[in-house]
Amino acid sequence: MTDRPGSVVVTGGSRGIGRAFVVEAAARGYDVFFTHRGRGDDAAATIAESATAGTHVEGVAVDVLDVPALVDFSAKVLSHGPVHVLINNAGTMAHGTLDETTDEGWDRSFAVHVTAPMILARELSDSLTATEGAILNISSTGGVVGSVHGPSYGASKAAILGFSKSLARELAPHVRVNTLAPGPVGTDMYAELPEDERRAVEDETPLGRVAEPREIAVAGLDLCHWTYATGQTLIVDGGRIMS
Amino acid sequence: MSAGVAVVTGGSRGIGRAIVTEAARRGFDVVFSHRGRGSDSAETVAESAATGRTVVGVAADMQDAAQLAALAAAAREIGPVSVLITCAGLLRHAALKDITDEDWREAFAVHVTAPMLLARELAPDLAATNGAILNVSSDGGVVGSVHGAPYGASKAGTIGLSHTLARELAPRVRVNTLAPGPIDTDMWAAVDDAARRKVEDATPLGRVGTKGEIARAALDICSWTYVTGQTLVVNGGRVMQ
Repeated sequence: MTDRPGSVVVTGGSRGIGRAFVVEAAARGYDVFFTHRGRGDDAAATIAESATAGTHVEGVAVDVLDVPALVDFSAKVLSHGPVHVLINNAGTMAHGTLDETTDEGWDRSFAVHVTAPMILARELSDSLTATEGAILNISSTGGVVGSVHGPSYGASKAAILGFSKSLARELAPHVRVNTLAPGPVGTDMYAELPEDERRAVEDETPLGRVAEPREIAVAGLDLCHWTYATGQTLIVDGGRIMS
Repeated sequence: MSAGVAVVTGGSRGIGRAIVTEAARRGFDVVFSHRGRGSDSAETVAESAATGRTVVGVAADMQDAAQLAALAAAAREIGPVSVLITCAGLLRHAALKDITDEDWREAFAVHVTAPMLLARELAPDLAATNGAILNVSSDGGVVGSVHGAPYGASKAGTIGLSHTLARELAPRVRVNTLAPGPIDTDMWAAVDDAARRKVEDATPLGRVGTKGEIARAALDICSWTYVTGQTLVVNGGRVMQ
């Protein structure tokens, strides 16, 4: 990958880990295009946080379930210039047991976690090939060892691992494709959990705390710059799972 | 402003030298070990000179506990130790029938015992700095090695040591493993053409790695404050895990 910064694409960039990726990428000199699901205020806050970097940071309202919208978004990004990094971060977590799993919820999880990353990879792969760029797919430790959030989440987050490895083979040697599997991260979603549940998570984590979103973004962007790593899964979870 | 002292074993050549140079570039003072390779060691120091950091080579045999303790003491003298990277390795190909007791013992001494001894020496220092340990294994330690049982079993032992220490030294010290595939070192250059071609063909990225690529990954991992107990395979995609 050339060191000359180009564009980074981040899905789900209005909050949490996605926002941290946008801010960190801008701080590293990249222009950034991120999607959000109509969260205008949150998107504006992401842009404000990235502003000091002085690069072009733009949020676009895109429903990642809407394939034509993803294709339009890709075209918009490409019209700005070459893409160096694609970070598929947008996620959905509707906790549900097997009994509670609906066809619609199942399809939705796979659409967000697997289909949307495939569409964006397909639309942007020519540009990523030209820049010798990288794709980073965000899974979850639940995708690696099974999830406590139910089958839709666990199975779709595992599917993204298979997608990443297959794509790593197909797009080699020009585009590197890796997966980052975070454990619990101190996002708004996490803050809403009851205190005893949070305590339990922290107690079973060797590092004794949850991640800051920025810690995920730094590791993820570092990994995108490793020019000899492809097809790998990086677990960033404070040591809960060791692999 | 120093980022602290980085201790690197096997720093006179190859990946170790690249790690020394990269650490100095990132603001660490570095104490590295070498096995009596004075002129190679001097080259490592020379390569890092432009960074302005203190970079010191210390002759230490990885199989001598007293010399490892002296290495740790030399590092402490320079400043607070914040990173330990064990890179010293031994590759002596041995088919099962030909393995000598000495081959077996040495492989474990260098790849497992020495990292343990250095971790024991430096754990209090690293805890005080919220530091990190990175042990360099091999992709052969993850999926089995083509270089024979002493190498493959001991490099897997390195990973088990890292996982265990990651649990024990948490939350103060992070402990991870880097598992490179073939890298363009002198060791690699000595492999015959046909064998090298075979490896390159079997590698999705179509080439062996460079020392600089491994060094960058090594220092990145040490800087990741929420990553511990992980094995990072950097091998051009030959093994995907």
